[in-house]
Amino acid sequence: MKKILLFLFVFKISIATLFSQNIELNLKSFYGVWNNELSGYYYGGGEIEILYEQPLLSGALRTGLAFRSVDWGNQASINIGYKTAFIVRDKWMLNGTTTAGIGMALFYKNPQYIWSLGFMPELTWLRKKRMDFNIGIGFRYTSNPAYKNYGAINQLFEFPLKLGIIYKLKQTS
Amino acid sequence: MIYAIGFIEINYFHITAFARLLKPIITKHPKLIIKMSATLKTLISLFILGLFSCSYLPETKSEHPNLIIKETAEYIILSTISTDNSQSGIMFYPGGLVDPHAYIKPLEKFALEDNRTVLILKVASNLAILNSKKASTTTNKIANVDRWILGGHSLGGSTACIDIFNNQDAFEGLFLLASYSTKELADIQIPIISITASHDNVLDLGSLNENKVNLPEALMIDSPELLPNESTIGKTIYYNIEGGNHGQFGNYGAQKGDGDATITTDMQHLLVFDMLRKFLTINDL
Repeated sequence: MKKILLFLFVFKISIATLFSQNIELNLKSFYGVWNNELSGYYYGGGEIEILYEQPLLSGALRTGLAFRSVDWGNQASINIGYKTAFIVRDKWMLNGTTTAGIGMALFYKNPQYIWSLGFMPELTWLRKKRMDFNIGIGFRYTSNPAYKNYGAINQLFEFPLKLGIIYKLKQTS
Repeated sequence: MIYAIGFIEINYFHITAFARLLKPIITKHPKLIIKMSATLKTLISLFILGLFSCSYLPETKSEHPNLIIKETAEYIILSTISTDNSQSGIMFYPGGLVDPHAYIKPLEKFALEDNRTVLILKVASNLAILNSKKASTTTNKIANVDRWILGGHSLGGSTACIDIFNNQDAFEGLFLLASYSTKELADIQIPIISITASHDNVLDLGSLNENKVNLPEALMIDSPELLPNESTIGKTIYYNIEGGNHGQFGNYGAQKGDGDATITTDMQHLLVFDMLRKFLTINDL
C-alpha cells in the first residue's frame, strides 16, 4: 500500500513537472547551528538547485535537482516541494516552500543515501516580466545515516539563505 | 534495496508515460521543448559536476583505544591523554577529493607515539584549494598549542604552500606528501621536507621537478638516518619512498590512475612517520 501511495505521489509530481510553468535556479548558502556532535555556528557550504514549478489551484508543486557542498563532501539530491503563498501584492509575494530531498553523498565505491527536510519562507519580486527574483531564509535538517561509519557528524541542522531566479515558461498574469 | 527497486519501478512507469506524452507535446509546443532542452543541458552539467566530485572514503577506521578523536564541522583533532602541547602540533590539508577521515590512520602515530596534537582540516567539497586560508585561520582556535607545522597531501600540499606563502609567520615547518609548491617559497626560513613515492603515477613528475625552484635548495636523502643532525632551514629535504604509491599516503584504497605499490599501506605510513619524526626532532619542533 505504501509503495502504491509513493508511486502515485511521485507520478503525480512528475506529470505536473512535465507541464511546469516555471524554471527556477537557486543558489543557497548554508549556515549551520547544530550537528549531532555539537551546537554552534559553522559554515555549512553552498548549493546550486534547478527545479520546475507547476502552479496548482492552491500553491505550486516543484521538483528539481540540487548539487551541494556539505560536511561529508558533495551530494546530489532530488528535491520535491510544495509552495504556498502567504501574502500576495502587486509587486511582491511572500510565500513558503516545504521541501523534502533524497539523494546521494558522492563517494567512489560506496555512495551513501542522504535525505533532508526543510522549510523556507521566500520573498518574490514580481516584475511582470519573464523573470522574477526571490530571496529566502529557512531551515533544513539533513541526514546521511551511513556516514556514521566514517565520521562523527552525519546529521545537520542549518539555516539556508537563498537567491533565486524564476524563469516563466509561459507568461502568466 | 526495496527503495532502490521501488525507485526503478517508478522510473520505468515514468519513462513509458512520458514517451506517450512527448509526441503531442512536441507537436503542439515546440518552443517549450527548446526551453526545456536548455534546462536539460543544465541538469546534465550538474550530473557531470556530480560525477567529477566523488570523494574517496577511508578503507578502515582507526580504533586505537588510546586515541582521542574530536570532530567539529571545521576539523578533526587527534590526541591522547599524554599529549604534550609544548611540542609543535601538526596541521594537515587532505588531498583533493579525499575524505579527511582517510588521514586519521596515517597521522595517528604522531598523536599516539610522538604525543603531538594532530589537526586534519575539513575543506569545502573535499577540495583544499577552496579553503586555502583555513590552516592559518585555525591556529588561534586551538588554545593550548602554540606552535604548528603544516602539511598536506597532493592538492592539499600545494594548498599548504599557498597558505604559508600568504601567512609566513603562522607555521614553523612544512611537509609535503606527493606534492609541490606553485608559490615562491625559496627564501622562506622554515624547515621543509617533501616526500614522494616511486610508484606514484598520479603526481606529475614534470610539474614536481619544474616547481622545485619554488622551494629552498634541494637535499636528497634515502633514509631518516641520512638527515643532517642540525636544523635544515634553508634546505628542502627530498625523500622518495621505494615501492610506495600516491594513494597509500592516505588510507583510502586504490586511486584511479595510480601505480601498484610493492609495499603495504601500513609500511608506507610507517616510513613517512619515521622520516617526519626525525625531521621534526632535528629541527627542534
